[in-house]
Amino acid sequence: MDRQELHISSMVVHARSPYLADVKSKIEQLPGAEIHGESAEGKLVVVLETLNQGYITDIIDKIDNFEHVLSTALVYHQIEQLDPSESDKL
Amino acid sequence: MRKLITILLLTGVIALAHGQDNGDQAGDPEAGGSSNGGQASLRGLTQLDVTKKADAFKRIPKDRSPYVSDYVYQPPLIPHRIRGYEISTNANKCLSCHSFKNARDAGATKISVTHYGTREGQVLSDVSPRRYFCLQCHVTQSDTAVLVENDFKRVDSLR
Amino acid sequence: MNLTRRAFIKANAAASAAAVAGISLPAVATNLIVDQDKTKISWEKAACRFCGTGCSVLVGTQAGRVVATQGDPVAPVNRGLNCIKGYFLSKIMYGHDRLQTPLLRMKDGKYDKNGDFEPVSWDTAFDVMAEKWKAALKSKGPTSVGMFGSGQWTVMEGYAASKLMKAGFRSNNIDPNARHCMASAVGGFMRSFGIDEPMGCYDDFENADAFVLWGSNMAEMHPILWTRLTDHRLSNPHVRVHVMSTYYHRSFELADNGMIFTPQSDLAIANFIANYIIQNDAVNWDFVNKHTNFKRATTDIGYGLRDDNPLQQKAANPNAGKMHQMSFEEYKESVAQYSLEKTVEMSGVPEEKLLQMAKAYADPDTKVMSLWTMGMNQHTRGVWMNSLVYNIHLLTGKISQPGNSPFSLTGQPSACGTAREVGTFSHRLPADMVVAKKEHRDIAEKIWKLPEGTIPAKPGFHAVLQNRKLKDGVLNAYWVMCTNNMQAAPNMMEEGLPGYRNPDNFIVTSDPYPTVTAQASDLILPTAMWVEKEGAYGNAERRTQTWYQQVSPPGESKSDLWQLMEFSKRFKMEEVWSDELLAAMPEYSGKTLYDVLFRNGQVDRFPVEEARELNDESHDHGFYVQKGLFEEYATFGRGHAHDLAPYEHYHRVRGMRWPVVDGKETRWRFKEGFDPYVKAGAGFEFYGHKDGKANIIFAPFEAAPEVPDGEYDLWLCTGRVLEHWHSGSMTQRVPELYRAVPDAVCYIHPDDAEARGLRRADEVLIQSRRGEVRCRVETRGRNRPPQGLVFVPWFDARTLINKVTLDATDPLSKQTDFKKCAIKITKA
Repeated sequence: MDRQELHISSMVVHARSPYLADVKSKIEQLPGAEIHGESAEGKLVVVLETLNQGYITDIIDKIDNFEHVLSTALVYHQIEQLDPSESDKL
Repeated sequence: MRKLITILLLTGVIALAHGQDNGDQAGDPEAGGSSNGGQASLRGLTQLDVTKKADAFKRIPKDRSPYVSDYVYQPPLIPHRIRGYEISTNANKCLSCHSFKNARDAGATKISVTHYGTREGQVLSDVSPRRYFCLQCHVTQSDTAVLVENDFKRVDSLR
Repeated sequence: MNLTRRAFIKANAAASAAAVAGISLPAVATNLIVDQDKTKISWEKAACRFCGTGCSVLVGTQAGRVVATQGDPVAPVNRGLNCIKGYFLSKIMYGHDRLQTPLLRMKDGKYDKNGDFEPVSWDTAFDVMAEKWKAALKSKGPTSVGMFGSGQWTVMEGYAASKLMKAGFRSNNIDPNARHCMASAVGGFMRSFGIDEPMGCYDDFENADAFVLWGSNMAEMHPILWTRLTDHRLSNPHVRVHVMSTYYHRSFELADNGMIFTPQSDLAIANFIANYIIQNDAVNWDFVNKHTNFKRATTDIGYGLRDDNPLQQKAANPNAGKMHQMSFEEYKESVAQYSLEKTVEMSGVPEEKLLQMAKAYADPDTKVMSLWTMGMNQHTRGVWMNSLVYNIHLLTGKISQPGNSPFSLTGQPSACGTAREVGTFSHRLPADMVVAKKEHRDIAEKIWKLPEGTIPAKPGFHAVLQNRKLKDGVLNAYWVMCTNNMQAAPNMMEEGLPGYRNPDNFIVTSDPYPTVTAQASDLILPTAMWVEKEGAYGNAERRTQTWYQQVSPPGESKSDLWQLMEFSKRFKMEEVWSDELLAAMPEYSGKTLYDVLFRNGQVDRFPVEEARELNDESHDHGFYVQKGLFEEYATFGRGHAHDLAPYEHYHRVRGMRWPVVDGKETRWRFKEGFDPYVKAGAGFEFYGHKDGKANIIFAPFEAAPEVPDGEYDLWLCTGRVLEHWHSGSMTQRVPELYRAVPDAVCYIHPDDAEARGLRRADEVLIQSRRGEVRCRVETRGRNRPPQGLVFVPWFDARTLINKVTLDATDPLSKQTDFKKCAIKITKA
């Protein structure tokens, strides 16, 4: 039986500041993505909560390809086993 | 009475502590007294001029359950022996079990997706070459008591 | 998994990304679990406490304690990575035996050299200490007091110490542990270029086509730079990695061309490559003609041993550093003796391997980065060896350009920033100036507002000489800070230990932990470390980085800086300066050293309000101490090719590489277009020398002082391991690092073991002519020596391998050769 995994990751997204609102709304539409902070120069703190890691790379690619996004940087990633007896992570 | 017992116990503890360094205590008063001034270091109370007997060779457990991390950014410790593992330009034995592809079948912990990022933050389809030498960050643990306790405290919520 | 844990992880994920982006999150976002301050981790940057790479880390604190650390994702040096030591930085301050109070050797309530350590107050500690200093100064003068410091001091600490010693006590007897580590590199730079520190930078790792390691196990000693090299090699199939060493180690795992050479024969190998370049018409004549001079080193210069040592007496020109002009033809003839055939014979390296490496250097289309650390610096001909490698790069013009880079790696986090740039050596002043030159002393005295003639002209005792002078009773009041020299210095049984325990001497050690150096001293001062104070470090690529104090130190611990400043308050100027000197500045009469050195209108220029709320030194002294010291120090280098940015700027960025001119850092020095100090149209300019040219310096092979013989039949090489920092005083107290590499073992070839009836894990006695230690043998570990050589790391206080080593130094740099002496091994 497959163990269920929960992947929590965070990244910094740098967008052109005049288009920040636009980029934010696009990110918020992605399932599992939450915006936790932003700065005037166009940086966003994005937290992802997903059920597999492939999705993280997909979503980074997706955000990277949004118009007005200058860069994305994955900062943090943790895998949680949803089975409470397991606590592996890297 | 209780006081006496305490004193006796204390004496016993001191004797034991000294006993560990069996006979290595002799300082040379001519050369400026005890070379350690009664202060222990990582070599205990063995005088500095004494040739200390080597500690026992440590063993690494063959395989055990994963170690629990103390904080979220700690690289996981290796819970098994790795002697003879090749990690070179030819082969990487660690990835043969821990890669995303093989981890499920091998019952091994998966490497983190952070390991897929390049220096510039671009995400690759496989492990980034900058993370190739696993033992730079992940190490085995020998089955031994520590020399000195560590009082590091974990964040309460992680306990 | 419960919701609380999920929320907690998300909060952490958000907080670390926010720290990276420099965004402060609304409290509600960082504090998802419950609205208690307790659950909030605050993150701030700091430079790693360990090696010279200079990684930036984010330190997580909560309720006054460090609870986590992580690699700093935005730092250009390490981009989010740490090595195993760096990942466990969070635990280095929490060893259970952290010193809490000053400890003084006492008997019957009074100081006694033969007494045992007892807790005393700071007042008592400084009283006893000042009394000893004053007694020494009075009876024998400034040369009887001394200090041994560190490449792990912050820039401000090293600067304050240097000023206190050279200007205050008027003694040049201050030297850092960087003498054991970088002195030969400094010597090489000064002779070849007239200015210290690498011309290139870490960006060279992403630009080179070939890497040559000349005696550096980067995989273990500079692990994060190794990840950059690995990344570039594995991402670019044409890139080649050449690794040279006297034994097989981890860096060979990536080597395309691994070479084991006979100890000391690197001198021949370097000359062979120069010869190969000339023979194969690969000299870059345009570069050589415009930008270089040819010189010849004085030879037969001895081994930096005591003057009465027979080996020293045999030398024709002991300690002679004079260089002589020579022509290219003479140079060509000098290197011609290092033919391929002869070099193969001397080094034991197969012909095709030597050729492969020589071709990489000779090919004008291959950009080569040469890298070295202790293999070349801890060498009785280390200064020569550094220049021999520069020769190769100068002959081919492969220098000061992206990917073409002779790169001297530094061992310690601030060996460059503190030891070299600040000039805490016994012969140096800030910004590459030296005490021996009147015009340099004049500059320092002017900046420090001191009368002419304050700084003595004669260089003081260097590291190894300090131990000898302690033993001889010449140096009597001695302060060791931020280093564990009893364990680190060579020949402990004949020099170090007798020196510290000499009844004529009073030895003080400042350290966070009870090290063997502390044990051997008379007074131990409990010391704040790393993020328990504000500081700055300078790494191997000229990058200066700062950090704020983030937690309070335990017990009564105080930083080195606080200790230096407080101690200076105990001396009236009349007690340390002559009447004559004081007459030149009568306004200093009746003042203390503290007033003159630190309340001089410069160091105390910035109000305490500018400092953080948590900044112990500034709040104790009433001004922004770190900023004041940094800014006064920076005046030495500004406008002199050592320019630093304004102090505050370093708190906002992940470091900058000097010279910082008009707010811009310099990546490649001496090259037009990169370095603002190079004149337009010059192309290259080695402005450390007046004629703008670099020196190609011929030096021959000369044998090591002690080579294996019938009785002491093995070479001993000592060194470090990935998991421990230097003497292990921090990392051996981190359980995970201790358990990763618990003991120093003797790495030995299986045949050498078998010949001595030894099996893996057997206990052995290692003996030299000077001392003995016991440890266990390892025949299958990560280090695999050839027959005839063993490797023993020095991190283990239980072993103390430096009881065995020889205190032979490079006669020019005075740096010890910890890589070569003769020993024998028997079953214990």
